[in-house]
Amino acid sequence: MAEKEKWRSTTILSVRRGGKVVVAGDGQVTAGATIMKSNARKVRRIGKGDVLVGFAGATADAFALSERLEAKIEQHPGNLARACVELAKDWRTDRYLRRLEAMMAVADARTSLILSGTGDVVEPEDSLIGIGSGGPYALAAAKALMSLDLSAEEIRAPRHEDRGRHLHLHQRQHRHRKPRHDMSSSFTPREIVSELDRHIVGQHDAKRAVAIALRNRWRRQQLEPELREEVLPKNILMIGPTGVGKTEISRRLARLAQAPFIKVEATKFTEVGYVGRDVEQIVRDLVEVGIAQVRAAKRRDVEAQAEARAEDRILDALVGASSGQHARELPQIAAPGRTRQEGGRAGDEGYRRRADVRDPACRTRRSRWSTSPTCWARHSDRRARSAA
Amino acid sequence: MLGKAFGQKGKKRRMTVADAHAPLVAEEADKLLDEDQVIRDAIHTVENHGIVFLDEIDKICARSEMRGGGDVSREGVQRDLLPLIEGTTVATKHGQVKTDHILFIASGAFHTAKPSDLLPELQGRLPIRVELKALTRDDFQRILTEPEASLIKQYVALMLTEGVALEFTPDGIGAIADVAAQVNASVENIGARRLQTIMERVLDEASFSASERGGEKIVVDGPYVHSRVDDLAKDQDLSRFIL
Repeated sequence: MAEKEKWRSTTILSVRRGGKVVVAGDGQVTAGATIMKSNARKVRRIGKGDVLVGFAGATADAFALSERLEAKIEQHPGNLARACVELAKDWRTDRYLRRLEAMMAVADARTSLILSGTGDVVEPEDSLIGIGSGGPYALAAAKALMSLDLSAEEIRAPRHEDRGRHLHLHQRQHRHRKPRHDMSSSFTPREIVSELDRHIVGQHDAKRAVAIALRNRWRRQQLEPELREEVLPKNILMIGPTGVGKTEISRRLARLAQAPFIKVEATKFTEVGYVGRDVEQIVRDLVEVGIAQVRAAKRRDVEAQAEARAEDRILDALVGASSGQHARELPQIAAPGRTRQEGGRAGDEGYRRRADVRDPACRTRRSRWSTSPTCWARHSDRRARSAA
Repeated sequence: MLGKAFGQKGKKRRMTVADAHAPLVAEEADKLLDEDQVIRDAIHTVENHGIVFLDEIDKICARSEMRGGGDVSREGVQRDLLPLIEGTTVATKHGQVKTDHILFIASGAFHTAKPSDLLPELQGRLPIRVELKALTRDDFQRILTEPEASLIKQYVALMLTEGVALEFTPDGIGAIADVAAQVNASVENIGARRLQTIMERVLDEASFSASERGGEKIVVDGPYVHSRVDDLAKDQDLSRFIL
């Protein structure tokens, strides 16, 4: 096997038959005329484990090649041919890549291809691949065996003392995950996930992670103060191609968080001293969000009190601060049974009626509302007339 | 005369008594609030419950592939982010804020860069890593139908405003999902946003003429979808690149 050839020492064979594909390789590493090692792994799984590659040639080049292929597969998931072609296209433009002394046999559940270090993508005949110095022999043997009725695995098996890995692939079954719908008390992780499920399909792992993180804030608050200081948040890094729901999760999360929440684009920031915002601004903005939230919450607490006061002010403006209880109650106009003491509000019938008092009938510009009984009489008079 | 009820910066506003109620309540509530207390509470909640979502974090990675010069490295931003995520004290106009317990959620596509291209220190500070899966055809189908404000529901509601009853048959929805998945695979994977382009294309004609077709019913089924978008979905011919 130790010929002085460019590709020394390697045999990679890939066979596809009956919906199965096998990539097998020997494990021999040769330096000059010496065999250094006979159990090297020359076949790997890349991508999400659904693509097999076997490589022959200079090791470093082979790794460079497979790394690039991996990146392309990520960009074009489920389309191996496209990934390979894109890789080959890079070849023509990228100076670094020009001559890698390696060759790869690539196979997924549907496609078998040969990638060379010079930018070729070759679709082999009969989906049979043999590369490396021993490749042609293995290929010939495999071709002969193909005429027999053997499975893909059996065909690669009779090759010489094979220590290399063989891996098979089946068409992967997509698993359906049903959204969970058991609601429990507010904002348990499960609750958050099911809330997110209402708007976002799939991505269960990401939903779980953020739900756990949110819940952990609450858990931390229940701890003893000394321990609480020690517990640091488990920050999350979400990785995924565009358009799968990362930003959508954050948008929905903002509504669930019940905590100061801010979403920023990392691209907005530049180093201190350059044009652009500096990162501390994130925290400053977050404080503003927090203040707005706290203020809204506190406002709700004092709402009843504030409402009473606001009503007093309106009444002062309408009937004069010194007017008596009688004028303030407006029994003849307010809807029956809806007085201020009973908490009539804007929008409630009684209140609106009272507010209607300020209508063109009694208004003289820049003057106070008259509190005289005659005005009220006149007012209700006109109301009755306009209604008729 | 109502002017003095709106003391905000002395600006007068005219409104009916009914309208005046809400701003007056807000103003009175603000008077009742202790501003210092609000800020103290706010800083406390920010420090303990604050969440920062850092989008597009991959865009501040130095690219792993040597792309020659010219590109300003964004590494400095990462370095600036480090103390923030690790825990530091930031001076704001409301006082000092400690960031130790603020939760950071970073997200990025990591198309061109890899998570390992981030500064190691930064990687260490984002210990939980979740990978979101690329969407499949089945996901598209679910996205079209399941969410509460799904695209299908949106279009049906929009068309209904013109009095046109839009109906999607299951095989029509399937066809849209098919085409979206196919175009994503063959052109550029833009994820769920692809559905929007496809839907717009499918319903282009219907949207244009809907105003004159009030009372009609439009059924979107498989053949209808294919007749509109098949040219989009034509597979890019890869065979010319393969020997």
